[in-house]
Amino acid sequence: MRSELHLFAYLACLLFLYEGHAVSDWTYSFVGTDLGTPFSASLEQSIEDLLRASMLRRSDDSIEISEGGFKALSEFSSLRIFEDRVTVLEASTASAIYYSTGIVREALMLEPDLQRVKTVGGTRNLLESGSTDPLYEQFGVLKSALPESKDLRVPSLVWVSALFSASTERAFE
Amino acid sequence: MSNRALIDIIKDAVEKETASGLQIALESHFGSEGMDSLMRLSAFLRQTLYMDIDPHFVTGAITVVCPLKARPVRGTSIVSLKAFAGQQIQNLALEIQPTGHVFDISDIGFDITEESKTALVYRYTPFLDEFFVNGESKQVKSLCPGARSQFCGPTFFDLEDALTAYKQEFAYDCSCQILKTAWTDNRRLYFRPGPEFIMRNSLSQFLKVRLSGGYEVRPEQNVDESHPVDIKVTKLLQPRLMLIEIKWIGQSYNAEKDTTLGHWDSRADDGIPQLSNYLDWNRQQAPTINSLGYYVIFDGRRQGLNKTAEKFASTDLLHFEKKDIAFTTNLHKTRNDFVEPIRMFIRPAPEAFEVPKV
Repeated sequence: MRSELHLFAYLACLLFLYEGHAVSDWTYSFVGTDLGTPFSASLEQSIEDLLRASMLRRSDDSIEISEGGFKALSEFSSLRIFEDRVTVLEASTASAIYYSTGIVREALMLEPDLQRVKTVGGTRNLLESGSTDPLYEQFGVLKSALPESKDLRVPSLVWVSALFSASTERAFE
Repeated sequence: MSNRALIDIIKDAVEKETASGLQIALESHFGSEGMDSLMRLSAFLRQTLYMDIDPHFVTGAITVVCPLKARPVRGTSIVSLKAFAGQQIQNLALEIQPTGHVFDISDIGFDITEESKTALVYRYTPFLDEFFVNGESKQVKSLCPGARSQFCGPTFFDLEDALTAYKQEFAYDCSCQILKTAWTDNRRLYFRPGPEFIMRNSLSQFLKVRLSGGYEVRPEQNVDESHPVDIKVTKLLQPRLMLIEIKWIGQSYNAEKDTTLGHWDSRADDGIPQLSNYLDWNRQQAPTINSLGYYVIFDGRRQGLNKTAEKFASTDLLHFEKKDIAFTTNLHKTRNDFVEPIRMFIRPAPEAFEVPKV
């Protein structure tokens, strides 16, 4: 589903920050909707462009990559300039393979900046300076629990599971 | 929930995760190749194994060996697991080579501890997923209470499909750990007083986990001040909203007061005008949103119950299993935004049944 592309791109962006990069280096921004989900206008525009270029195609309610899209993806993925981006995207989507997309969506609703936007209401920019301290506090918890981890998929899976457990605890409290 | 409280919960959850430590053990013993195997194995479990094999039919164990590196082939090559569908499985062992080829190694004797020194090994026994890394067992915490395996069950892209699966997989046998607490005891004869919130929690938890990431599931959203709907499901990036109203029928027992309360078909009737009103109200507030109403009735009706007997005849316990509710209103049939009500009969537990006389 299209909204899942926004979800996993946002998780990838968060993992990019976890790796110590600056948010501005991600090069496109996200807003949080009042439902507590991320959305990027740039990503949405790119999806439309790729659909028009037949790199992606619509299939029922979802979007699939075409053979041409897959070839282009393979070429771009091998470029050194995208190395960091491929790593965080793989770590982000690993959570969907190990858990399920529903679990990842529920977990991310407790990501501090998305939660802030949902509490305040309306549509607001995410990851602006001054709003990310609680996020880095969570990253601090993760880093101190996983000091040796070099594979970004490990903190990604542990964080999603922890957020989902917190979300379940909150729902039943 | 304050950020401080959230951080404390997350700290606790991270500690538990790192203590059970599957990913950490994998990385520590096998490096990134271990995580690659976990991804390959997880995808196989979700997209192949549990698409063809329903864990309800597994009485023994399924073992899957996922070598980190290609190694000499053993066992019999398998093209499809469809041959195992619907069959009772006592012992099935598979090996997935890094190429993705699957082999049946059930007839080859192997030792899990030894295998797990060079492969990631998964074992399923009823209601338990386990991985073995370098001889150590790592149990997988279930994020969906009641699911037989964390990896089974497809992700649903349609709410009606998800509700049907919940009815069949979770409600009928009351396999959901949350739903089990709606009853006064494990025979499943009387609900405890006010069980609606337990039913709502059980269903909403299932939907959160099993509906695709394209939905938002929220329990008990207020449609208006006096009539909260039980679960609100929003399709993201689309103007679609689904309102789920939950009711129960059957009897509840209040142990403190030693009183029972019966809710029968007329109680089920009440939900129809209520949900219709919610839909009307919602349409006034958000005219551009397409709203659909889903009415779910948990059916715990039993015939001939009394508090003195321990066990009852199956003809009484299952009297209502196939008896639809006789609604006296047809409001739901005249609206095109009201989906046909979904009755979810919950079967009594085996210990509630009298042994038939020979």
